Amino acid sequence: MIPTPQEHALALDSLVSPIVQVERLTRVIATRAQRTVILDDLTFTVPAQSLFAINGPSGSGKSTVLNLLTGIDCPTSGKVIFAGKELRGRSENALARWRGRNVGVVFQFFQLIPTLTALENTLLALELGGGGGLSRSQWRARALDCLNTVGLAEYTRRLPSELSGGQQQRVAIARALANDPPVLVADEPTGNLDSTTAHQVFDTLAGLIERGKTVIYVTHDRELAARASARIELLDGRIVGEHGASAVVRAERDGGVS
Amino acid sequence: MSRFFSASLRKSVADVTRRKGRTLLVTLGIFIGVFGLTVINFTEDTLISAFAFTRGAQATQPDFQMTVDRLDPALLPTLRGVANVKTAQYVSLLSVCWQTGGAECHVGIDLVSYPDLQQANTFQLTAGRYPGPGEIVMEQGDRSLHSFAIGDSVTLASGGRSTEAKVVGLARTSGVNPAATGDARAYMSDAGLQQVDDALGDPMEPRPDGQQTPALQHHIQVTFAEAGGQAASTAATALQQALRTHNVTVLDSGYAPKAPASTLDTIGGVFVLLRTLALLAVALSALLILNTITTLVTEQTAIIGAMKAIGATRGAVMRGYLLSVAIYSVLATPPAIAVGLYAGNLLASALAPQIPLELGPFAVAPWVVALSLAVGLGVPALAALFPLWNGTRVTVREALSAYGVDAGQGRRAAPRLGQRLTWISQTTWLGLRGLFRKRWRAALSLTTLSLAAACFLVVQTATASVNNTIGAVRAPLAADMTVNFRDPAYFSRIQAQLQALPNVAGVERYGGDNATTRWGTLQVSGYEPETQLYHYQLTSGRWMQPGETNVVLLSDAALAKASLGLGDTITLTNNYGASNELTLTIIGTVKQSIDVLGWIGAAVLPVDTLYRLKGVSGDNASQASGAQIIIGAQDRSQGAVNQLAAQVSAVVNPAGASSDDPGYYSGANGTVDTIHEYVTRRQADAYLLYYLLYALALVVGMVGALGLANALVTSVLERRREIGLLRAMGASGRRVAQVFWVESLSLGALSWLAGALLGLPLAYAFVQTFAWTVMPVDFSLEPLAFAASFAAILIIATVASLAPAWRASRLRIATALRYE
Repeated sequence: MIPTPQEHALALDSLVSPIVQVERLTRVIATRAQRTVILDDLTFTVPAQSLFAINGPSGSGKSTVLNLLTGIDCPTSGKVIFAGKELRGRSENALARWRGRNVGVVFQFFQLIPTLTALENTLLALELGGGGGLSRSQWRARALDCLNTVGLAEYTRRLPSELSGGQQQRVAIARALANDPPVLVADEPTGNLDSTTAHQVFDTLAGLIERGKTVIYVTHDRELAARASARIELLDGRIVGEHGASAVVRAERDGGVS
Repeated sequence: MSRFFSASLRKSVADVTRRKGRTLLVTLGIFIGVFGLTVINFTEDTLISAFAFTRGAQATQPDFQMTVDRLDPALLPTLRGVANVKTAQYVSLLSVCWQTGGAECHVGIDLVSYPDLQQANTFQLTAGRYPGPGEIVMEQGDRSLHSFAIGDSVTLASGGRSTEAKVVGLARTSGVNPAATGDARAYMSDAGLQQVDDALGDPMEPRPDGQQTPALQHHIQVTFAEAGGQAASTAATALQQALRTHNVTVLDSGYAPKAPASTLDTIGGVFVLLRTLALLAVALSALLILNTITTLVTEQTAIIGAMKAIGATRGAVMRGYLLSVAIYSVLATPPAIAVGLYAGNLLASALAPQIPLELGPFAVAPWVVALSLAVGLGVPALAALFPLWNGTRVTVREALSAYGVDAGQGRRAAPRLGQRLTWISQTTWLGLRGLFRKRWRAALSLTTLSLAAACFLVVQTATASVNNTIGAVRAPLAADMTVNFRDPAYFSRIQAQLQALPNVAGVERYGGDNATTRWGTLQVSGYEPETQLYHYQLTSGRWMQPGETNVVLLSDAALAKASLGLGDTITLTNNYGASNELTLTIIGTVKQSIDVLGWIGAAVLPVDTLYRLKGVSGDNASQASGAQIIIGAQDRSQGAVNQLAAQVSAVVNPAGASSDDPGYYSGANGTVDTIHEYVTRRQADAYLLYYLLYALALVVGMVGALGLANALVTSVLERRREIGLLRAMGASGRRVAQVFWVESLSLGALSWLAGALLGLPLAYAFVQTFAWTVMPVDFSLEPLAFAASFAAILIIATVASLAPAWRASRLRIATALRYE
């Protein structure tokens, strides 16, 4: 695919100021039975204010990459540098606090607290994530604003069980926005939705770029991956293709450039 | 919910309100532990307070009383000045009718007055104030005869006349129990009592000699510095002399019978054991909390992961769940305390008469409530810490990718064994293999259930031991009934008639009473030295010889308690009057159990020696007389014995006798009581103790069942994908439920085994402790106890598995197989 001039400009910008840098990232899972290499020596960058896709078939390691970027998982070797700071060596609690302030996470199966309303789920993120720099008295307004951003201003008092799948995912997006993090990560955000709803939700995510966010998402859907301004393609734990990510493609390491 | 509550707080509240079944189970567990502890502590505190009051009141009971024709206030200092007189006080008494309604008088009332009511120190004013003329202070127990309140008027009547007095206060008097006696008691001022006497026209009452005497009696009550022996007699004589010198006529005099000294030994030991069981229930409640929080955390693993993903630290997550635990505690603890206080009051009221004690007004000691609050609020929080710490340790990745099938960490031995035992169905095998998936949780469930099984065994063994011991008290007796005569001399007049009755094998003089020693109270029996109806079992020494008087045989338990040996002497004191104290030489020991809680053992004396101890003197203690006799039957079948008892009663009470039970007769001259009837009554007296022990065992069993249910629920949660797979492969809901039922039964069976191994030494230790602190009992183990506890555990396991197994069988395949 030939990048548009806009995309090319963004790509050039990212080369100058990536928000995430990954260097020689490897993840190996060893059990008594066997040793499995989930990710094999990945190197790439995520440009700031980009819609960044991690694409690949099932079992290619996409979700693992996302987990490593957000500190949910720890690499066996390699580095993840997030906004100029390396994630390695932090405790679980420190990572949790860091995530609350710097990363908004959106899961495939929403993972909303079932006993809290849409508004309360969003408020919970503010309580746990430090409040986004706001005073406590401003949290409610912030949460309502986030829900309004995702088009759910009229559903603030609904429990997750009273919302459709698409609405639940949009609540999850509002929750992820609550602390105004610079980066949102979404693991198969539309994987559990019908195609129409999926496009609506994805449009919501994509629209966040204009608010200065960087959105990193995992998808096995090539069509959704094509909408990204930068992306990498994984296969069997290796990068086999990239666009605008300054990634080291496996073929390069083997001697060729793709 | 209000915007003033944080989202975290709302989640904690929702975790409690959303799962009503679990909330009910947990609050019930906390409730049970706090309730049991509150009941025990409140009851003991109430009885100890009543005991302190009784002890204080007993110190003021008179040793000697004189009835006089008038009271001269000027004489009181003279009387108090007599040597050996510690205290002397005047008291007046008028017995009339308390008219509660209708023309007939059904309630007698004793009106008592003292010159100075506040100095009387024989009763305690519990409400209101002391009375003036026209006023009256009623005994609080009078309300059991007829209801009244302070401010009401009571009608007093005699001989067709009546008058009223206004109730201005309530009193509590040690040893006075209107509910038991049917007679009311009240206090008035001297002027008030005289006013009533005048209003009723100076009523008269007949004396035993047929003469009429004023119903208003005047007494002088005296306590001595030295109550027994010659000093008391000398002082009594001096007092009467002093009165006669001042022209006061002494109408009657005598040593006042002291009420038997109440002793908390009766129940003190019981409370030690009950408190141990109550603390066990609290500990098991803590285990229940531990189990429940583990279940809750397991259920919310994905939510914990999501919270950590959006910024929650481990501490923040823990605080949220601790708040839920606090809500459980707050829901359970106040009702448990309230109900515990109520039940404790009932228990104290049931136990008090057996000691005996007079309970005061309902009062709650602050420490009882404070301790229960601390336990109810603190123990669950402490118990929740470990599972919360453990459960919130999960990483985000682990929490969101829990597959429910523990791949690669199975025990190698299990698959190999499974390949050999192919005759066991796979669903059964799945249930068995589920037992130790999580070792520590299995250990926790096993511990809880094993304790429940052990507790059940302990309680069964204890009740069987007590019951068999009581049943064995009369075992050495070859007699089949006892007869108690109101007049000991009466026996000599009918002895020949009794011996002539058909089916009589033998008639012997006998005595039964109690005596106090330095080490406690003994149950005392007296027999003829050449008895044919008491088959004594000597364990050391020798039996008494004819003509021997100052000798005694003790039970082994009594000898051990007193740390005495053969040839030593022991002083026995009877509770009636002066000079009833004997020092006897121990000549042997016998196998003889007792049936009274709190006493230390048995003593066997020559029957004449026992009569001396009881104060039966002169001709009444001669060979021809007998306060009590025992009769043996030739045909000892129950029907024949009951028939003989009726015939004996007809001889003893020719005017007739009342009989509430087949083997018991009570008439004007005496009572007839078969041994069978006596043993049945004594065993029934211990039922309260049995109910308490079984109630606590039930509590422990319930907590064990709740813990097992929680463990199974957790197992269902963790194995939901396994369940989904089974259902996808064709397993019916019933087969799925069977997996968890097998797991539950297996846990139950293992627990029973551990409980039996643990329970046997515990039961022995419990019975030995009971024997040392409450009442000597022989350890008695019934094999059926094991079978019964096994059945109980299987029932508990089945009941506990019902809900989790049902839940597992209803799990939808799509829901079960869904994963991140």
